[in-house]
Amino acid sequence: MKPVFALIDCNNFFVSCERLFRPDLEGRPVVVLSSNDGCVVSRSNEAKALGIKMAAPAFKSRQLFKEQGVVQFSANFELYGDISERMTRVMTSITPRTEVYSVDESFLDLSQLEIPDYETWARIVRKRLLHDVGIPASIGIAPTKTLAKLAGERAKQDLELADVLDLNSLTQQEREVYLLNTPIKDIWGIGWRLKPKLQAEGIYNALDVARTRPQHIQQLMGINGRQLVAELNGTSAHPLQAMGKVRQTISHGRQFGQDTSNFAVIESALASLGAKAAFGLRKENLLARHGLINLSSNRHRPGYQRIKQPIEFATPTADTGHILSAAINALRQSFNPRMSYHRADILFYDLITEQQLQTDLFGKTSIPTHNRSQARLKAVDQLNTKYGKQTVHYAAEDLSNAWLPKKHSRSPRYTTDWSELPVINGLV
Amino acid sequence: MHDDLQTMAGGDGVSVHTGFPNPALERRGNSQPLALDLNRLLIRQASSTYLFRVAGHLWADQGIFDGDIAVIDRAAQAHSRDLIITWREKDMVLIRQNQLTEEDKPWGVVTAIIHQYR
Repeated sequence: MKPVFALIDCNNFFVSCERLFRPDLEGRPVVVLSSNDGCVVSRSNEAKALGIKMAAPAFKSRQLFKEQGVVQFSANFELYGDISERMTRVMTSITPRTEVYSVDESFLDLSQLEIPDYETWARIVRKRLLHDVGIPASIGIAPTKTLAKLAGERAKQDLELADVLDLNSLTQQEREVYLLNTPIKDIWGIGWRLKPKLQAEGIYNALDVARTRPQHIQQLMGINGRQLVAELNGTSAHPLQAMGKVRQTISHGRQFGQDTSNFAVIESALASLGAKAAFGLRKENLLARHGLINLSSNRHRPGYQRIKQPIEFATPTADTGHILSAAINALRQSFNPRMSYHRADILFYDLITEQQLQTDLFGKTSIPTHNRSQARLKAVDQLNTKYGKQTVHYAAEDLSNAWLPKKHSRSPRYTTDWSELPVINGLV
Repeated sequence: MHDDLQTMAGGDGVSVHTGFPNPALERRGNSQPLALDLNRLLIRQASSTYLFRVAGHLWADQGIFDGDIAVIDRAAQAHSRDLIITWREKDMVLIRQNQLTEEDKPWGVVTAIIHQYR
């Protein structure tokens, strides 16, 4: 069976989520800013037209925002997460062969569906997502994931394509026009680091890459380069990553409301992040083998500093107590009182399922102790789920929330909080 | 009888030995709980269903009160007597489908109103 993939990519996803409940913002420049209102993470087309760049620090653009009447939102990740799940639900109802690639992009394997005309099919799917969920998306269709991604990007950028491009039904020559119009920075799998290296070899667009000899591209960018050339020429090298794959990492991070050198503030922030991560691990029945804390000063100020300190566990764990003591230990070992801390992140990797623990570590870990701590944690989680997060917590988790970012302009959590539902106005 | 003792998979992977098969479980394919589920009554399609809060007494004569929750299905086909919500100027408002005007931006069909007494 010949492989056929669709890439469904939500247009300006976070902004589109905000506009769903604020139809008056249609046609106006809108941006969504990252936690603590640091950087632009999503832009409406009108904001793009004003020259506002992705990841631009918001403080540099305050003047422009004001002059042009740019509407700003602080990120509302609960809303975006819920809308993303709705999109996924629609897609998996079309085919369970769906790979959720990121919060706003999914690959669908169409090879087992009977679709007489891919373009017509894509228009129907696009219309359904827009009408039923309320979010506009672009759809690219091609025999490989890399080409599907490229098609999706072209579909979004070339206005006359109106968000749909089917490369699968085109001949090689017809495809080449689209490859020619795709600069290397827009190719899936080519980072900005590679750009100067490739340009030095006279490779400027996707067609140049497709025509590079496999040996040559391998010298330039390793074995991934060979796969890239194959994919751009229509030979699939990347199969669909099936759903239900065990996640590889879990991380939580925050910027401080104000830069700080206060150990206690940083400690409580890390404790709170660690508790969240531990809850996340337990929710998915995972245990972490390794972790790290990542602390940094403000990237946009001179003397940028960053500290990475590994977190070690004697045995794989999802126990809040173990995780917090290890994380705080890592902070103690790496703390620099002269550094101005701007951001804290905690990351766990090398995750295993509980079943794996019992099969491959039996004997090495004390199962009775593990089970006892499991029972205690389950009780904690049940209370927190029932009565709201942070009902039961560890002393190190700071509840004053002094370190939490200020959410200047977060929209209501329309779909995830009973007290913030959107309103039908019947006031006389 | 050779099939007197049947093994059935109950919830949570528990094996249940029973003299008679439970016809209700058979009918539902064992996968769904027997108890009534309000979600199944009120939500036809989760991906397109949104909940809104009614504010004010404008529609009290139609039995829709301040604080009620409106279940809105964006996927439902609207007929002329259906209640729908639409964006008008700065607000979401309730009207009948046949009262829509050119300027309206219809948002979804009201499929249920939840009124809680306490």
